Amino acid sequence: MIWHPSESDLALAATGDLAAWRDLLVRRHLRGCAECRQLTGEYAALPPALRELAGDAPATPAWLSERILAGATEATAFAGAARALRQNPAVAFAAMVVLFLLALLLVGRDSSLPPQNYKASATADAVIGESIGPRGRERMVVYAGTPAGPAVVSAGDLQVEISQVDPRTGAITITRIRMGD
Amino acid sequence: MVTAAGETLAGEILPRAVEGGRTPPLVSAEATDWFAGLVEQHLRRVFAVLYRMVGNSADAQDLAQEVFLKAFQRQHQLRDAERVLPWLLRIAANAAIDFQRARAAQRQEPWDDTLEPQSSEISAESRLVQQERQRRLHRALRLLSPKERAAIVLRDLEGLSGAEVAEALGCSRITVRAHIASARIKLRRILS
Repeated sequence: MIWHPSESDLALAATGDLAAWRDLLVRRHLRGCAECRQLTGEYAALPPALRELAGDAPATPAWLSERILAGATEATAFAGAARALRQNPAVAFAAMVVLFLLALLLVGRDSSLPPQNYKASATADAVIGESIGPRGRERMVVYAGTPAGPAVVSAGDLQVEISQVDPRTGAITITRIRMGD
Repeated sequence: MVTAAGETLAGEILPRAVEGGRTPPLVSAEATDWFAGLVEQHLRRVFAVLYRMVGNSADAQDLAQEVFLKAFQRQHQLRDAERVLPWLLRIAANAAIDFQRARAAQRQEPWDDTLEPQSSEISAESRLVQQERQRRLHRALRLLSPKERAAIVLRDLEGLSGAEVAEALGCSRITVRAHIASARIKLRRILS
């Protein structure tokens, strides 16, 4: 019985992907086996055929890079505050009390004046919004917990659009923040 | 899931890190500039890989944002600046594989047969031919496992070497060979 390389070996040998010693065995065999040479030829033609079928990928939209850079800026802004608070539990508790009271003060306030600036970020357990407006800096919990999936969450006039929630880590991707309607 | 208008959810704020319990480092202006350059230089390639793997632009755009945000947060892990593209592709491949597994678990069909408009410079007939070819390829790729799909996209469509594919997928050369061989055998039978 004549030994023939496996189809896996031929599929890899066609593009030089076999380990060197195995490639040597296969090439020696191919010199004397027309059937295996034909099959190897079909596998050699596969990558160009796939590329022809694939064509060009769509162009990346111009707004995509801007959104990526904006997302990185937001991640930076809250990373420093998160670290400082975690390093000092007493300060963290005091900060929670202050922010809780601040959040209570926000209820029922007139929010008709648009803020100068606003941001949102996600921690493991909450989506937090921050705005800087005529009344100064205001920070609020937009959503307590981890959303199950893509969602729009809001608190007051601040709306945060979430595109993705990693089911494994709970990491939340924020794609848009809006004030007002 | 939208809260009632005007409602403020007051409560505990737990300022823990976004990812994996580790705090991302504070980033300097230089690092931010570096990141902007990274996006400009590699976004198109990363997006193309993600598009090939998930089959539609919308998901590829979302994943691209996720990939570059992770790259931004993990930039301290990049040891060799010369190896930034394989490092990025590794993040991209893992993100796409996780995405496809999550979709499969939810029994959602991730592929969109409404294909993307190509260059406006080609004729309508050529565009239809191209779309049909892409549709055919997408249907075939859909039948591969996420790892097989990743390996064949990186090796045969993106032209990475076997060693680079292994680095991008975070597995051994032997494992990558097995994925590539298995994918090629299936594709040859499907497409022939």
